Amino acid sequence: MSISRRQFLLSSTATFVAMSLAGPALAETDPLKSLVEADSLPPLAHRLPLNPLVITPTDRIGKHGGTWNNALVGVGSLVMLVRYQGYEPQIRFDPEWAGVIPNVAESVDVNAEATVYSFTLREGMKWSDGEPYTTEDVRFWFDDIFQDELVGGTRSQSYWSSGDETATLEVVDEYHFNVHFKTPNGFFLQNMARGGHDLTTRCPAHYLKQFHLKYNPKANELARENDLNDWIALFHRESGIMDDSIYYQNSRRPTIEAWKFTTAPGEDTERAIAERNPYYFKVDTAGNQLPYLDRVVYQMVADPEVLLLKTLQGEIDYMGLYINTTVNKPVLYDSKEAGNYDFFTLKETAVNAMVFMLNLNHTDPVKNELFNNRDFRVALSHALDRQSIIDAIFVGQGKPAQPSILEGDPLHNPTLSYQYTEYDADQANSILDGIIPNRDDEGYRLDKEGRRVTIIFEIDQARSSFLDMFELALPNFQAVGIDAQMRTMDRSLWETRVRGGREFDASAHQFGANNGIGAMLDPRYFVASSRNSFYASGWALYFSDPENENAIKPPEDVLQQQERYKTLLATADPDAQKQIMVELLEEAARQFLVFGVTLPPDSYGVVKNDMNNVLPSMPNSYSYPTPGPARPEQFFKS
Amino acid sequence: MLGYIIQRVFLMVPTMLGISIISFIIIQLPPGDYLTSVLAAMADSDVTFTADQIARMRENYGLDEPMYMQYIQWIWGIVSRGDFGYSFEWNRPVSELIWERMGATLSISFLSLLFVWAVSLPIGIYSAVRRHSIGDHIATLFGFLGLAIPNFILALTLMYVSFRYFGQSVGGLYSPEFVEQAMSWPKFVDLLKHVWVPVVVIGTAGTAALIRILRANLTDELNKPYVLTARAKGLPEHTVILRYPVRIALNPFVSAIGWVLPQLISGITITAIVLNLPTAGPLLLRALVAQDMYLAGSFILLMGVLTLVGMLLSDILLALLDPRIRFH
Amino acid sequence: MSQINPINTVEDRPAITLLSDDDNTGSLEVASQWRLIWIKFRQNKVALFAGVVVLLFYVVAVFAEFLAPTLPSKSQPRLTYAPPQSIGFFVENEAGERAIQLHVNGYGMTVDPESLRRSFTVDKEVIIPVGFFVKGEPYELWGLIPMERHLIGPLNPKDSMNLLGTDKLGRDVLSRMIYGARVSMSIGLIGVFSSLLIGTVLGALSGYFGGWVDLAVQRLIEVISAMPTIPLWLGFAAAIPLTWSPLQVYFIITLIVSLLAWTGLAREVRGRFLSLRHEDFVTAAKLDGCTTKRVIFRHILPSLTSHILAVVTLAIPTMIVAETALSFLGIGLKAPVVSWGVLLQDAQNIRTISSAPWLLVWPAGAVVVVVLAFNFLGDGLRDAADPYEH
Repeated sequence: MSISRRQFLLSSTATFVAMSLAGPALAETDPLKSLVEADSLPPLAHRLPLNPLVITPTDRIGKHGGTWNNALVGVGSLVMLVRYQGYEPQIRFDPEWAGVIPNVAESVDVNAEATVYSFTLREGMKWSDGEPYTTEDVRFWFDDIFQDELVGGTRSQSYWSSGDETATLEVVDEYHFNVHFKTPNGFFLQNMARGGHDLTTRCPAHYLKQFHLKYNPKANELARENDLNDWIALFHRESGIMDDSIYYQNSRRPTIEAWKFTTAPGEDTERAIAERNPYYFKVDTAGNQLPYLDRVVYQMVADPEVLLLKTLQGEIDYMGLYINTTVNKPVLYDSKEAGNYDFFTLKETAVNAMVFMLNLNHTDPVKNELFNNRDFRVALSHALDRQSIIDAIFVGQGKPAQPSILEGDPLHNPTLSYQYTEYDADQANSILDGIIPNRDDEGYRLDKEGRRVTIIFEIDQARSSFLDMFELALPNFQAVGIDAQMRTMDRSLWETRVRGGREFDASAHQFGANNGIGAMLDPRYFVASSRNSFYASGWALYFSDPENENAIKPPEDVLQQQERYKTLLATADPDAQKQIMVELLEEAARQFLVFGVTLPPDSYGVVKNDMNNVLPSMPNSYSYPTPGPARPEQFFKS
Repeated sequence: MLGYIIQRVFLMVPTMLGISIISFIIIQLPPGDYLTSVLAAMADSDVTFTADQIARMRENYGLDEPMYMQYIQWIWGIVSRGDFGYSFEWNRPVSELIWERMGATLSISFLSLLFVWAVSLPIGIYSAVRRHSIGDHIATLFGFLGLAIPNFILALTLMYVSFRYFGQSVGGLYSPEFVEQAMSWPKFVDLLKHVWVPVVVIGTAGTAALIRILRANLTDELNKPYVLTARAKGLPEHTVILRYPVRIALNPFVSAIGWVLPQLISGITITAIVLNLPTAGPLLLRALVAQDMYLAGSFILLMGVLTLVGMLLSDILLALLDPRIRFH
Repeated sequence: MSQINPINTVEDRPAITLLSDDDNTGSLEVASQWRLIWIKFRQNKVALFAGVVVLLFYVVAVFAEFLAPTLPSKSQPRLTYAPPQSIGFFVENEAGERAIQLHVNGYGMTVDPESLRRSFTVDKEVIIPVGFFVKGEPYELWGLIPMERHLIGPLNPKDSMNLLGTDKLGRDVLSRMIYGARVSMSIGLIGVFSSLLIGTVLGALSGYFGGWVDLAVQRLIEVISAMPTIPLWLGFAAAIPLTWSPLQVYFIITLIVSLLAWTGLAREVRGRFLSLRHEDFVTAAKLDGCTTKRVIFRHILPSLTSHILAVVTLAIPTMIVAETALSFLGIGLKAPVVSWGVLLQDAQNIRTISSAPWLLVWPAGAVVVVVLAFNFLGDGLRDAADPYEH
C-alpha cells in the first residue's frame, strides 16, 4: 500500500487514454435507453463526466441487467452498506489493498513534503439527480459542516489534521482544490481511502443548503414543520453526517454512488431497494456505463440463521458477513451444489483471533499496579493453552501467536509474534509466585492487600467465538490461581463500560491490522493511540488530548512509543515510514501490553455461480471495506 | 348491560395508564439510551465522537430532557393528536411503522387462534367424554407436547425440515419471486405454503391450555342431571353431548380468548424472529435492545390495549351467550 | 413440593378433619383430606407414573456430580461435535471368544480443512472398557464432600466416553444435561415458590375483602397480564448489576420469571375465596370471633392447599419453558452456568440441526419429558384434589 506519487499520475493518465478510445460506443449500450428515448433522461454522453473512470473488469466485460440479492441482519448493521454500495471516496484502495488509486478525483498530486495535496475533479460529473458535482460540494462540506461549530463538525476526521492543526482548503476553480497542512501528513490519502472516512463525496450542497440556516433563513421553521427542535437536528437527519444509518435511510438525497435507494432501509422495514444511478461516473473498457446490475435488493432479516437458510437455498448472491463463521462452514459446504454457489476467500486482517486486554489504566490502584507488571502478563500468557483453543474452535487451523504482523510481511517481527506463546503452567506459576505468592484456602492467589486476585473479563455477548474461547481459557487462568471470570453483556453496555470507562478489569477484542502498512494506520495494540486501545484509554487520550481531565500521563517508555508514532504520522517517505514502524514494533514486543491466541485463520464468503467478476480472494476488513474495492459496480449476472 | 360495559371501559383507563408508565420505565431500565447504541454501531466503523458532538446528538433526539418530561410529552402527543412519536432507529413516525406491522401480526394471531380452536375443540370433547381412556391420554399428550417444546426450537426445526425435504423458500411469508407481485392465486398458494409453519408453531403452544379448560368444564356438565335425563329419554349420544353440555362448556372457552390472545401475540415475538415474519415482534425486540423508546413504548402500549379490549370483548360475548352471567 | 406439604398438613388439621368427622361415617369417611386425595390420586396410574418421573429427575438433580460421567466444563478440543457412542456388552478377544465387558468403541477422526469439520467414524478396533463406580474427574458432592467416583465411566480416566455425544467445545452432553437438570429443575421450584407467595397473599386478600382491595389487585393483575412478557424480561434482565456472580444472576432471573407468573395463581385463589367466603365453616369461624387473619390463614387457605398444589405443579413447567425462552433472547442464564435453557441456546442453529442433532434432541427431550410429567402429575393432583366429588 506504499504510495508513490508517480503511480497516481500514471493511473489517471491511463484512465484518460482508455476513455478516448471508448468514446463512440457509449450510446449503444445505454441501459436506460428507453428513458432517454422518452425524453425523461439526457443521453448517456451528457450524463457521464467528460473523463469517466474506466474500470477494467476483473474477468470480462459484463452485460447490463439483473438484481443483486443481498441481505442485512438487523437495522443496526446499516453501517455495513458502505461495503456494497457506499465506497466512493476521492481516492480508493486498489483491489489488492496494495496502494491507493483515484476514484471520484481524476488525479491527486502531492508535494514532496506531504503538506499540499492537489485534487482534480472530473469535469461534467453529476449527482444522481443530474446536478453537477464540483468543488462547491467539497467546500460546502469543509466550511459549512466540518468547520461549522453549530453543525458540530463531523465525526472522527482527525486525518484532516497534522500536528495539532486542521488543514485549510483552497478552492482553485470548479474542478480543482488543494488541501494544505502546516506539518507533513504522510497518511492523508490512505486515511481518505478507508471505508466510510471520506465525506467530501457524500454531501450534495445543492440539496443540503435548504436545511442549513446560513443558506435558508427559514431552516428553523422547516425543522419545526418536521417536529424537530431546530435546523441542526433536521440538517443532521437529512445529511446523515453524524450517523451512517441515517445516511442510508434517506432516498431523497442525491448520491454519486452506483445505486441509489428508491426504497431506503426503514422506509420499508422488510426490504430496501437501490436502483442504478443514471449519472454514475464509471464505464468499463468497452464504454458501457456501470453498474452492470440494475438493482440491489436487501432483505432485512432479524436472525442470521434465517439468512443462512436463504443462502443455502441460493437466494443470496454474494455474502461475506453474518453467516461466514467456522461453525457454519460445513453446512454451507454440503449445500454447495444444491444452492448453486461457491466460496471465496476472505483473508483475515485482524491482528489476532482474540486479544486479551488487562486494563492498564484501572481505577483500582492495586489491580492497576498488578496489571502493569509485565511479568504478570507474561505469566498469564504462559498459562494459556492456545493449541486446545485452536483445536476446538478453529478445527486445528492456526498456530499460537500474539497480536502481531503476519509472517511474510516485510514488517513481521518474530519476537512480537511468538514470545511467551508456549503453554507452560509451571513457569506461569513460578513467575506468579514471585509476584503474588499468597493463596487463600481455595487455592486462589491473594494480592498485596490480601484480596483474592479476581479478573473479570467483560465481553460483548454478540461475539460468540470469544465466548467459546473464554470457556476454554478461564480454567487455564484458574489453574494458576487467578480467579478469572467472564461477564457477557449487551453491545451498548460493553461500549459504555469498556470503551468509555476505566472501571473494568479486562476485556477482549480483535481487529487492528496484521499487515505492516495497515498497522501504521491502526497500531491500537502496539501503541495506545486511539479510542480502540481499550486496554489503556487514559494513555490513549493523552496521545490525542493531553490536557483532557481524563487523560493519564503514561510511563516514560509508553510516552516515547507515542512520540515515535507521532513522528511516523508526520513522515512522508515510505522507506522512512517503514524504518520507524520497525522500531515501533520492536518496542511493542518489549512492552508486551496485550496478549493473544492465534493469528486469525482466513474466513470465507459465499457467491452464486452466476455472479461474475468477483475476486476469488481479498482482504476482510471494514477499512478495506470488503468487498468495496473489488468493485461491485462491475459484478454481473450471466 | 350498557352500564356494565361503560364501567369496564372506565376501569381500563387506570390500567392503560399503568401499562404506559411501566412500559416507559422498563424501556429505560437498561443503562444508557438510544444514543449509546448509535455510538456502539458507529464504533464498528472506527468512528468516534467528541463529547460536544455527543451532547448535540442527544439534544437532537430529545434525550437531554428528564425522563418524566419525555414521558409526559409522549403521552400528551398520543392523547391530544394521536402522535406516537418518532422512531430513532427507523427514522420514521412510530404510527406508520406500527400500522405496517399490525396487519400481519393480527392476521397471524387470528389464524393461530383458529388453529387452536380447530385442534382443541375436538380433542377437548373427546377427552372429556372418554376420560382416562388411552385416547384421552394420547390427546392430552399431544396438547402438552406443544406446550413443552420451546417455540423457537420448533420453529427452527420446521423451517429446516421445509428447506431440506420440501425445498421450500424459508422465512417470511412469501418466496422471493412473489414478494414484489400483486396478490394473485399463485401468490396466495405461496402464502399458504409459508404461513402454516408459524401458525402451527404459535398455535400448538396454546392448545394445551384450552384442551384442559374444555375437558374440565365439559366433565362438570356431563355429570349434571339434565344430561342423565336426556340419555334416559333415549336421545342419541352425540345429540346428548353436543346439544347442551358442549354449548355450555364453551362459555369459559370464549372467556379464555381474552387470556389466550395476548399469549399468542407475545408468543409470536420469538417465533417471528426465527421465522423472519413481518410482524410486530422482531421490530419490538430490536426497539427494546436499541432503546428506541417511543417505538418500543408505543408497541407495548398498543399490545396492552389490544389485550384489554380482547378481555372486554370476551366478557361481553360471554354475557350475551349466557344470560345467567348478566344477573350476577 | 415436599417442603410445602408437611407444614400444611399439620396446620389444616383442625379445620378440615373436624368437618369430615362430623359429616361422614365409616372407615373411608374418617380419613383425613390428604389421605382421601392420596387414595384417589393412586388410582390415576398415569399421574402416578408422572410423579415417579418427576421424582427421578429431582434425584438426578440432587446427585448430579455423582451421576455425571465427567465434569460439564471438561473440554476435549479434538472431539468437537462428536456423535453419541453406544454401549456394547460383549467383546471378542484375540481367540475369538466373546466375553462380557461393558464398553464403548473409540472414534476414528479425520479433519477436512476444506469444509472445516471433523468427521467421526466408529472404530471397532478401539475398545474402551466402561464400568460402574469408576474413578474419574475429582469433584465435591454438593460442594462439600470431595469424591472422585462416578456412577458410570471409562475404567481408564484418560479414555473418553460420550454416550450422548459432545458439543462444539467437545464437552460431554450427558454430563452437561445432568448438571443442567439441577439448575432447570430448581428454577421451577424456587420460581413457583415465590410466585406462590405473592399470588396466594394477593389473591387471598382480594378474594376475601372484595371491594376496593379487590379492584386494585385486579387492576394490578390486569396490567401485568396485559404487558407483553418480553419487554418486561428484557427490562428487568438488563437492570441486573453486571458485577454479580452467575449464581446471584440465577436467583434474580428466577425471581423475575416468578414476578410475572403469579397472576394466574392469584386469580385462581381469588376465585376460590370468592366462593368459599360465604361457606358455612367460614361463617362459623367468624361467629366464633376469629380474627380476619386467622380466618384467612387457618380456615380458608388450608382448605385450598390441594388446589394450590395442583396449580403449582402446573406452573413449574411454565417456569422451565420460560427459562429456555429467556436463554433464547440472550438474557437468561449464561455460560459457564449449565441449564437446559443454556444447552438449548447453544443448539438453536442450523449447524446443530443439520449435523449434530444430539445437541438439540436430548436437552429438548428432557424439557419435554419434565414438562409432560409435571402436567400429568398436576392434572392428577387436581382431579384428586376434590375427594368428595365422585
